[in-house]
Amino acid sequence: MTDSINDIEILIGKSITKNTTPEENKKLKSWIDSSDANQILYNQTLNVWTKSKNLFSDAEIKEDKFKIQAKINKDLRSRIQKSRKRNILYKLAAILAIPITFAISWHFTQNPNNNLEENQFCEISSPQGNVSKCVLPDGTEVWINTGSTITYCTNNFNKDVRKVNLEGEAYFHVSGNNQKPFKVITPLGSVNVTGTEFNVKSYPESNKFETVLEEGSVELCFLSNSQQSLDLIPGERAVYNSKKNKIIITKVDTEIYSSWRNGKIIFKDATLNDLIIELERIYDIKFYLIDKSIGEFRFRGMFSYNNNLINALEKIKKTAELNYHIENKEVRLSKK
Amino acid sequence: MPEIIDQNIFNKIKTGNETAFSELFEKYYSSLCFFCYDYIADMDKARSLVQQVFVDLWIKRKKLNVTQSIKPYMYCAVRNKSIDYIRQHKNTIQINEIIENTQETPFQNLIQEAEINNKINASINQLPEKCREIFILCRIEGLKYKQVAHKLNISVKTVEMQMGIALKKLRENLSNQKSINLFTIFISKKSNFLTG
Repeated sequence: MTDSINDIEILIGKSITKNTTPEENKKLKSWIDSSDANQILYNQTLNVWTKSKNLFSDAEIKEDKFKIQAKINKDLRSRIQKSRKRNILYKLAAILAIPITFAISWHFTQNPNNNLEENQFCEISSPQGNVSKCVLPDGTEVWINTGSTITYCTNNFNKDVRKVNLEGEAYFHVSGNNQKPFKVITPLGSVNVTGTEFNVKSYPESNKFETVLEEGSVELCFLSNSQQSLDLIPGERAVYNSKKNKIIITKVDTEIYSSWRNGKIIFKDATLNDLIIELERIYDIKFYLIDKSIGEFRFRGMFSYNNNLINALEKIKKTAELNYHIENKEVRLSKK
Repeated sequence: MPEIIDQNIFNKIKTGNETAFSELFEKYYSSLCFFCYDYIADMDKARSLVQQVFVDLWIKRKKLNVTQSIKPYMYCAVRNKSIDYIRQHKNTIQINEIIENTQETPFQNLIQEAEINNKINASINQLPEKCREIFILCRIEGLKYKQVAHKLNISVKTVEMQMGIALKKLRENLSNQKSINLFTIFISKKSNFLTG
């Protein structure tokens, strides 16, 4: 769109932003005084200027939306823990107040694993740039990707359902047990299995919940629609987008989605946009694309967690013909 | 009939529908922030208070029993939060002109005001990239035309043109809606132009 813009519009702009000379001021004043319509036009423009003092970009609004989601999750978690603690304390105080000595002796002699410890949670996280592996009490092996956390209740874990909360990405090798189903819970959905191998990815800042099944079978449930569940067969990848409320299932090469366990990420036909999301996670940095168009550049290849950032950037620079500039944990990419 | 649709959103939220919650956010969040700013004169704080209103709404959604439609409900909730905030911080907060004004202006007018602010903000976000950049440098960073030209390595003439275009567009976008009458109120208050 070509905008025709006349001198008076320019003059109004200069005046409002205080960029006028005294002569120009005079000229504008006489223009304004010459008609009511001019006066209104000037005032309207000034009004727009006065009210644009606080700018709120689309990116900031989006960011705030994620903050709300994170606050809700955090609040729910602390509520669950608090209410359990409170309940147990009140019950203990009320029930055990008088016969406390009996209770304690009974507690230790009869039932050493009393539910006194019911509210103990175990939390395992991977620091930025690292992958952790742990073995859960039931023998299940879990690899936890960088910046991710799993939580489970130490006392309830092996009772009837094996429940694990996940924030981020993890790979599960669940030891088989038909009596006690295994459940991975994320803010957007959950995975129910008895014994299989699969990868789950659900970072809080994204609106996606993603599962790749390597072996066995799993059942997926989505929190937004609890009636809906879905079975996967090995080699399938399901991505649930909570924003669009859509599920996409594709046949994939599962190795790509679990290669991070060995500290490597394999990309096949990934865009630069996909790539920088991973690199931001590994190196705890922020990327900015100076030209938005370069985000669509496609890659194929491998990155290792052990390489340093410069190595990774040099690789990108060579293949995509880009320049990079690092400053305070921020990397700017631009066209050569 | 926007009111009926609003009521619908609220019922959906009560049943835990995240899409409805998301819609509510898209529709009102930024306006509510501008509204809150009028009370507490601190944009960062305003954002965090409004976020809290949304969080509370979601967490307490099952207990809520609202007969009015959701828009006035949201604005009331933000107003109450703002007033609480001012009370708690009355020793540290600077009571300035903005805050005093809100105590005299009717609630409905403040809502309209916030919606206009939001509309202008949305128009700024929709300006062509170059135009927007120049506008922000002038408005938010308070640079003179010469400084903007120097910083972006363009001519002062271009800055003048782009600012003229930006202001014209914002003005036109705004006067497309029925807010003309509000301008007239504004005119009577602001007749001391060019003196400052």
